[in-house]
Amino acid sequence: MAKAASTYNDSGMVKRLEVGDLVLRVLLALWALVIILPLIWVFYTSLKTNQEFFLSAWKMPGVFQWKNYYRAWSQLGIGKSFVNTIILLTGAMLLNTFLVALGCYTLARFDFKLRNIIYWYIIGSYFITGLNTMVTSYILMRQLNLLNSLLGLIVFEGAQPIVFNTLILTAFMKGQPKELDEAAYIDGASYWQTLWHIGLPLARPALLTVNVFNFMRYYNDFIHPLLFIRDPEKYPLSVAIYSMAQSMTYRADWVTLFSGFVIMMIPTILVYSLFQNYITQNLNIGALKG
Amino acid sequence: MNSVIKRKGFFGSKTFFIIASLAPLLFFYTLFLVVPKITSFYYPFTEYDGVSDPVWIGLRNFATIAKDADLWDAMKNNFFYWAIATPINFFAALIVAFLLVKKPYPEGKFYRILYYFPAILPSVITALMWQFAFHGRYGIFNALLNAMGVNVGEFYWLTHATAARWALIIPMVWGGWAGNMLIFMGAIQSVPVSLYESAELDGASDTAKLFLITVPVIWETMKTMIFFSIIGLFGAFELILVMTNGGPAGATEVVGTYMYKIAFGTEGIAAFGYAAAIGLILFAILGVISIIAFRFMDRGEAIEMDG
Repeated sequence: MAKAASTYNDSGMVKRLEVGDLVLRVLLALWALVIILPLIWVFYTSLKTNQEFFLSAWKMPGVFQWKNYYRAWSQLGIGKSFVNTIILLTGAMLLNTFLVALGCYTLARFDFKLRNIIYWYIIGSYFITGLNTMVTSYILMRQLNLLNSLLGLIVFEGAQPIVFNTLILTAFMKGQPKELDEAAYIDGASYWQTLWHIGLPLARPALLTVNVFNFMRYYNDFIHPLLFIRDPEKYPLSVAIYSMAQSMTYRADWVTLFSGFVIMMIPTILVYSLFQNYITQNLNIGALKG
Repeated sequence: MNSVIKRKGFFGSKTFFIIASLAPLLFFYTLFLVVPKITSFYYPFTEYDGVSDPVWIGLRNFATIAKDADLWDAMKNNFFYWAIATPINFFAALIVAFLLVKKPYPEGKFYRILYYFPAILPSVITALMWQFAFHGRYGIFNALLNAMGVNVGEFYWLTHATAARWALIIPMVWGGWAGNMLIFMGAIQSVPVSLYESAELDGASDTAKLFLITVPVIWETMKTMIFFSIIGLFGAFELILVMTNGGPAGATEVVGTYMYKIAFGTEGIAAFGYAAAIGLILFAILGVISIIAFRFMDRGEAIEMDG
């Protein structure tokens, strides 16, 4: 039977647009504006002088005050906290990748008696959520003497995404063919060698996705450094910018604060532009499963 | 198959590998994720100021909770934000996802990237940016309203109780629904186009009718998302903490900020036990709501299958 002319093209989209679409497009454009406007405001304000800022919110900067950025970086602690953030992120990402890559390989590729119990043990705690553990995590960190230290924060953060990442990695690794592993065993490779030379390289896309998510999570995390770190010297960016904003109540150096905002946004923008296909890809996996 | 050429002894064995590969993961998981959850069932029954040892006081914290008017006010705010922001986040995401997947607008590809951007911004930045945007004198919000002819003068949004409460919804929504949007987009893409085509033949040219096809097909995904949004009932916290810290005078206080102040606030002695007790109550409330929601949603499905 010949297919009647479809109103849908090959990508599943409608072929013809109607008047109603004009209204929708205007609404969508409005929302785009709502997103862009505050961000642009922050950006051009960061290049003004404070006098220009107090004059009018709309006025464009006369001469671009790049020294605002310099001041935020060196005098107001942004530079130092940026280093702290790098240390924190590197440590936490390495730790978490190590933990989940190793563990999920075994959970995905081996069948042993306790396997399902262990898997559900990990996944199961998704049901108890964040607010409860805010207090008890703090108590625990204090008992472990891990407060007020970047190392302690690294160790804590390294553990946080375990459940979500286990879900992703185990699912992915299960889908990988086992023939390569078996060929390696026949050739006499140890389990460790197989893991290192075959298992991990095969899992590279999933590991990358996991790390992109980890990066976002760690970079954006505010509440945990706020709770666990006391010395301003050790603040990562998120808390440093917060404390800088609080000091504005008596300092009123807004343009510098805004340049701090922009500085903090830059790595996020970079990672997002580079990896946004990974982010969207992975959420699709979640949707298909659900 | 001679599989033990190089693997000698215990350390080369499969058992050792399994144990050694899982041990670090399980150790860190148990210590930092399981222990705090377990102790969250213990500390609520104690009085603990963080300095001296915890003292077992049984149900006394819960008696205090029952009389704590501030706490219940905070819960009302939680419910307020949840009731308003969640439907917006949900339906805006669904509609926009539908448009972006089904309509060949040239700007659509750009929107996919742009709309998700606020969701990946650090929440601190979103909160601070909007906090200053709402500034009475120098903020862009008033500047925009005044420029559009809505004369608000120098109204300080965040220092007036009612205004603050409503104003906070804007940043919540600004960063909030893009995550849902992506998930919906993935789900909608997997709906067979043939379903839409048959509906067209039956005369369903209305976009609304397309809606009635999409929703049932992606219902599984929606159920999961509804579930997570229910769990998020008490989640609004970081944004409020940074923007208003519950102010002015508790107008925007939510359970999270309240707990935070009790446990870590500068108002004197820390009350970890009491804060943990609040957390336990939240857990119980969420548990009950989840069970009810599940029953409700599954029953709906059964009816569909019978009919």
